[in-house]
Amino acid sequence: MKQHTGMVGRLATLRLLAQRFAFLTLVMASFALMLLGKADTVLVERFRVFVDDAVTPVLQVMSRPAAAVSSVFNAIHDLAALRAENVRLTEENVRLMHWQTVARELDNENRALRAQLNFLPGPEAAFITARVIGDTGGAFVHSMLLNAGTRDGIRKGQAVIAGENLVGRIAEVGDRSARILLLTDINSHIPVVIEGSHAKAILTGDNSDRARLNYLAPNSAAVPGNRVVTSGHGGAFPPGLPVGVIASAQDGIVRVEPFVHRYQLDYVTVVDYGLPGVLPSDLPDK
Amino acid sequence: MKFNLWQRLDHLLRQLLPASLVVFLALLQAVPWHLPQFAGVVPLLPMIGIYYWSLYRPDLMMPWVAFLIGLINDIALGGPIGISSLVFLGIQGMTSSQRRFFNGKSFLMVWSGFALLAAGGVLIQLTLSSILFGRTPIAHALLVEYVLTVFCYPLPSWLFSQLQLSWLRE
Repeated sequence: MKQHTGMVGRLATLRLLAQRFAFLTLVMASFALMLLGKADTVLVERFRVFVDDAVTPVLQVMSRPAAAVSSVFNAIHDLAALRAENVRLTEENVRLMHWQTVARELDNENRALRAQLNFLPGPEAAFITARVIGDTGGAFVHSMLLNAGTRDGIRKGQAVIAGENLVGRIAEVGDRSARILLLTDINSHIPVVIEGSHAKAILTGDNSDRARLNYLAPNSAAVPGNRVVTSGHGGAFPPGLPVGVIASAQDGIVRVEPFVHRYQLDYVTVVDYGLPGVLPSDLPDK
Repeated sequence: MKFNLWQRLDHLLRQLLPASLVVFLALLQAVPWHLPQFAGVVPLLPMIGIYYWSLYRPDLMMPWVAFLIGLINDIALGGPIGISSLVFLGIQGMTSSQRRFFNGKSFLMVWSGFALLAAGGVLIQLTLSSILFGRTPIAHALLVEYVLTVFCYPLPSWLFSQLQLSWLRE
């Protein structure tokens, strides 16, 4: 009998040891995963894409009621601001009518000049519109999940726009899902120019709502209110895509408020400009 | 006593309930809510689930379950993988080893325990992601997330306790 209890006790100790060992192994595995992820291996990316593809149908279903809830909230919000909004829109309309006239004149002039110069237009861009099914808010990542992937023609490195404005670029693409890296993400670096002054800079996110302008020439004028557009350098994006306006310029830190706010995004357009991308990893994988 | 197939299936499904609930919370974080007030911040809901189930049913929230949920969480959020796994493992380990301390303590005590552990988890997350990114992400969004998470705790915790009473009677 005594021998028996001794055996049970030993078994219990062994089990406890095994549990501790399993726990430590899992902790080591977490660190190993971090290192593997940092090394950007193909294996990790395939795995991520696989999981993204798997959760896409679930998120697609879950995002419907969420959209309904948010539309109710927005309707209440809009109702309260209806009058002020109406006044603002009327004023804006007057201003835009003026711009429309200017744009028509410019368009005519442009066409006439092109005809004189024998100008060759660039290749037509291809569009894919997709629904945002995952907005992974959060302090660490600014990214979004789309319900379209390689089977719809989306490739890594393509530009994502909403209306006319830049949202980000495709960072990962699965069979039926794709992940956008927003321009406010800490890993996003976009070559831009300040409109008017033609000062070049790199727009770098830091996971706050406003991205920073880095590598700006010290004497270049960055005045709040100036528009920032893509420069087209590096070949990742075509030049001239609107990005945002300079919101603040203090102590040499220039911050840009993007035109697009992530909470507004319901549908986005993925554009294939036929550009090779800035890094070898951005090459469209055929 | 022998169980038939349906009884076994029923048992298995009940056993899977805690883990599936936490995965659901992880996906809930990734749903676009389109609310301007909450753009860029989400309560760290899965942490609540990991804490609750490690405290009340550690047999159904084993370390490897916490690890896997962390992996799904990181991928669903698009973050660097492995960080949530480590944080959830830490919460699971700390909570299940301190069960005796929490036994019979008031809800406020359990809530404070969560606030403390979540703070540790968030700090680990911030440190590790700063190392992995090479730069520190803006921390005030993280503070808002932490406060939201702690204030959210009673609701999921109440829901879990109702489900535990109706589905997981020991």
